[in-house]
Amino acid sequence: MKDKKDIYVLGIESSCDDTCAAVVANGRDILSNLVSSQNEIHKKYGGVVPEVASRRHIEMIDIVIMEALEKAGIGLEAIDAISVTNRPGLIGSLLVGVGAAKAISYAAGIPLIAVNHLEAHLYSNLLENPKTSGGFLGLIVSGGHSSLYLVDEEWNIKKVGHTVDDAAGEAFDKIARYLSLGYPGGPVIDRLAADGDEDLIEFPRPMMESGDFNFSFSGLKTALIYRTQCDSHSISDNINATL
Amino acid sequence: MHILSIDSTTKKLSVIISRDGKVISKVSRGSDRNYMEMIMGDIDDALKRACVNIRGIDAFGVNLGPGDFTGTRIGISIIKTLGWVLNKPVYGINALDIFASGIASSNPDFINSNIDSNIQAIIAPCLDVRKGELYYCLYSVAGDEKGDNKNTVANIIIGRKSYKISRMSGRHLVSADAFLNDLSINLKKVMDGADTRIIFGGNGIESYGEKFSAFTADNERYLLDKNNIFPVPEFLDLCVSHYSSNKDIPEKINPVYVREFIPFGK
Repeated sequence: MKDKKDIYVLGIESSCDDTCAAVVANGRDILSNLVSSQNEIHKKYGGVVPEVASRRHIEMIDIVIMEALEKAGIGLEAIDAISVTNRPGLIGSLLVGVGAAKAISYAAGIPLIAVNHLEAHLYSNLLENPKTSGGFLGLIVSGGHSSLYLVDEEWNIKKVGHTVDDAAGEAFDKIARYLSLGYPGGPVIDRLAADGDEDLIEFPRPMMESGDFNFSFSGLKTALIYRTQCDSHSISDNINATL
Repeated sequence: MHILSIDSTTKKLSVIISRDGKVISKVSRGSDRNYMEMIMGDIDDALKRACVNIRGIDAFGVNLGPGDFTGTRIGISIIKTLGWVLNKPVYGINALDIFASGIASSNPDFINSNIDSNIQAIIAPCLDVRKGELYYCLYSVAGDEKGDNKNTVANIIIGRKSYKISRMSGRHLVSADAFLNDLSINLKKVMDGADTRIIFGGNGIESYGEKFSAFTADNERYLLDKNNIFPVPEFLDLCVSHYSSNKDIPEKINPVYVREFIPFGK
């Protein structure tokens, strides 16, 4: 049962390829967390195709929201606020979640909070470690972002570093696609790397001495592609042997 | 009975509210702005002008397309969520049905004269869906006492008579070059050689103007309606009113795409 002092928030997120909704109490307790993944759909393309993602979102959005409420065992009347990712992300995908959130807010008279999903990544630490206090350095790594944020004691967030070209996950996905390793590339490369020989090939590590907190990953990707093209015994063969 | 409908499939965003089949408020405007920034305000404006609260709406309607992908999805995500939250039915209407109602309503002489002469009047909306293709469907017009209830998409009133607009063929996707051939095959299927008159409308007859002019010019069986190029919100409301008054169980509310999206053209 909901205590009068409890604050229930319905969160909606559709910035990339997953359609998600969750109900969280007091910013800490997850009552439900529904994710309709599109991984299988995008796998065959080696990455997220925006129009394909948007088409799936519009089919799933209301189903996912209803299930999140049902699983949390509450109705909309118990929800104190709705939060929705409105940036950054794929525009067609974002609009589906934002549309649903606006309509709920209007029809049910519930306040709506627009959320920058990168900030949400930082706040998500509170869910796993409820005692997290401000005053930390946060690293956000995904297919679209590789950034460092300084979060002060009042939870003011300041970006202190970012990739100057590819995101780390983007480089992984593109390399995996190039080597026909499947999608998403990160987990596969991670698994293969565990048994790899780290001294076999020297790949460039750009910006290690740059003096700032920025990253670069496109050079690594290009170096690997060149290496496979000119090597007599190619990296692909090596990997296939490992597989 | 209050109905609120949205059309966000084209360069014009429309919100329309009707009471017992009569339009009582409409907000319709073209804009380059993001529809998502406009739409809740427009819904609110339309409701205020109609002096109705959102809770006083009994059914919702939306143009499912085919149309601009992102725009169509904005309207659908809003309208199906409103229906769910307020526990009211939502009716999704194929754009062809809206055009058929519009073309029929705008051409009373065509309908009256043919029905009086016992000639089958056929409405053929043709939409330009890019890639050199047309999307079309054939609709019959029949007196209220006759006609096919199951496939009826709207009732229109001309003078004092009420007519049913009913789908009489499948919805066809065909290259503009093969259109005339495809049309005659489908006509034969549904009419079996009986005498017909056909009126064409929709943005397809504008995009392929020369083609349509050429084959309609010296054929008294064919007529062009060049005024029904965009979907008109009043006719969306007409279709939604028809479905809601017949208590049809709404289909799943998802956009109409005429073809599967194939990334990288592969």
